[in-house]
Amino acid sequence: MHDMTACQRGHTLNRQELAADERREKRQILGLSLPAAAIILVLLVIPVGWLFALSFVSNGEIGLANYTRMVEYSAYLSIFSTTILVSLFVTVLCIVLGYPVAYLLGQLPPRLATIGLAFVIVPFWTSILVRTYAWLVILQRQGIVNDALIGIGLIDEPLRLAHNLTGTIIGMTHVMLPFLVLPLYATVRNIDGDLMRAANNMGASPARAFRDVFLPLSMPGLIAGSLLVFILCLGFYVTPQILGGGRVIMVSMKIQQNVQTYFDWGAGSALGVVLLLIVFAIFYLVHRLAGLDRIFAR
Amino acid sequence: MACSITIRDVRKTYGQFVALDSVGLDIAPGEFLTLLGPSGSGKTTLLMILAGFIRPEAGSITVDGDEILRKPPHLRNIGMVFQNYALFPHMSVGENVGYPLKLRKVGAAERYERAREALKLVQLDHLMDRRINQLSGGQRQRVALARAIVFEPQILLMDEPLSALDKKLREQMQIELKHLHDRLGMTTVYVTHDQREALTMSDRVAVMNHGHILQVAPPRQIYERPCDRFVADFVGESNFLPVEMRGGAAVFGGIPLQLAEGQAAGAGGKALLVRPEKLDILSAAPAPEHNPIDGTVEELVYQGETMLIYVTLPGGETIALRRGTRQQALSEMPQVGEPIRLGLHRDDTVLIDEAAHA
Repeated sequence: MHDMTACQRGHTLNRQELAADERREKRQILGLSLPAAAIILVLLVIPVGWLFALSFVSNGEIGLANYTRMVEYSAYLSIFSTTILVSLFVTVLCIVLGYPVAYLLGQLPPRLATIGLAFVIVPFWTSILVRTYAWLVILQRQGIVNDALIGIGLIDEPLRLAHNLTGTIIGMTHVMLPFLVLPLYATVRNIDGDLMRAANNMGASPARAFRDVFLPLSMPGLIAGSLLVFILCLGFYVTPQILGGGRVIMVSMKIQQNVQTYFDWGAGSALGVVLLLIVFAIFYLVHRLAGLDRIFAR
Repeated sequence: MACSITIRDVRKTYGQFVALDSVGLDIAPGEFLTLLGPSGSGKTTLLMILAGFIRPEAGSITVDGDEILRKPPHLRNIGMVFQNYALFPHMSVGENVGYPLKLRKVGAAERYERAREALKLVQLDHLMDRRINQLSGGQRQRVALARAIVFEPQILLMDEPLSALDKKLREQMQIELKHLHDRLGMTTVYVTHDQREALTMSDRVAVMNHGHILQVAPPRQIYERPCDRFVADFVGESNFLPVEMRGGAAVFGGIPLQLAEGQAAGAGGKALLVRPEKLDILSAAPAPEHNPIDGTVEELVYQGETMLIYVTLPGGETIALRRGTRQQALSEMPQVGEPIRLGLHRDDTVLIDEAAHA
């Protein structure tokens, strides 16, 4: 009986004080997140809103002229299709080249994996401009590749590797590869090796076990990485500008032209808005197909 | 239907570390054999070699006379339950259990039926559509078991399958696994570091240490007649008392010991193995078949179902004995500091070689 009354009294003991502590803690957490919210407002929401507003201004008039132009002139259509096709191609190339790398890194013992990962990350620390010009040196008519191929007598005429689509795709793939490898590696690293062994044990050949177990479990990382690469490609400027040699016109280059050459902020903004809408559409599609929360929550 | 397994001279080293040193073992068809040992003893290595995930440097493993060492794991047709269950998180319970059948090209309808049958054996057929992350630890364990037996392998390997479960559930599963084995009759090799689990479940236990198999015997023999000090120490609780050899008799504390039949004193250093629960507290009247051991009560530890009594002997050794905690026993329990006379029945004496595996 004595124990019972002690328990009952406990229900009211310190009740107000503990509730106050709880409220204070919530206020503190809210206070800590305010600076971040403010930065996002000033640096993202306002500029994007401004961009959006600008896209409806053309020659001092408010209207849809910037958008209707995109539909009327076929040049815009080809710019958008080039951008999307190049981005798609680079993404696929990154998957083909990056998956084996991430797979290998995932199988290595942690120490070796860290070294391997360093090779993936180091190029990150070099400016994209420097890397792109390096590719120019390697791929141009009298570049290392052509000299070598002519030297061993494999070809007579130098191959056209730079200042065109080939060069653009090679350069972009190189820049984008880490964006695919890193998220994929993070996912692959966490796949329990026993799962593959279990599949083997039940009678799955290594290839079958890969298809039935490893590949599906690596999907979240693969989708996250591919999405990252594709979306970054859509807005890529430096590399296609330098290695494309004017033969590959991407949306970003058209925006630059509108703003820098014609001082037409409205036209540039409209292109930016459409690009953003395409990105949103892709996110929505992936979400419907695979569930974004599942991909990014891991 | 069950297979015999013959292991001969299997050797595996990692650099300087000898994981398995020419291990040999015969496992009878339908037998439940447990590999028992501390971590690093080589028990898991041997299991992984059986499953085909580790390639030994030398040796031979035959199943019903057929060499399997060079077969890849997926062609061995051996079921296995992994320590962390290794259930596929992207498949439902039913798909997990049906997967081995899918690999064997069993049609969807039959697959479903057989997966349900296997799950029924572990009382989980009502959870076929659940995701793995919706299951409790005990349920996962059962699903892993169902998946390992659904394709009716003739050999089942289990790698500490119960180690992640809490004590109550573990003890319940031990009995269930044993019953399941009795029912299905497949040759089973079970790895554990839990000596009680090994004693509970096995037909025979192989005690391993430093890459060697020290003793292979039925649980009772392992516990009652361990072959050396390591086995005696690793399996169960044990006190070791040094004995002197005088003219063919084993002498402890100046008194010649009465030994059990077959316990020859022999030559060399010996120790008397005393299990805490085998000791009696002697009353004033001496019992003729007991070896008396005098000492002083040092500490009493109450552990619920039993009480542990530490007794210091005149030679300075401390030995432990266990008593049940019935009220009557508790009321007769000696107090700390009091002298106590313990008795070890003649039939419970076990002499162990001191030198080996020290």
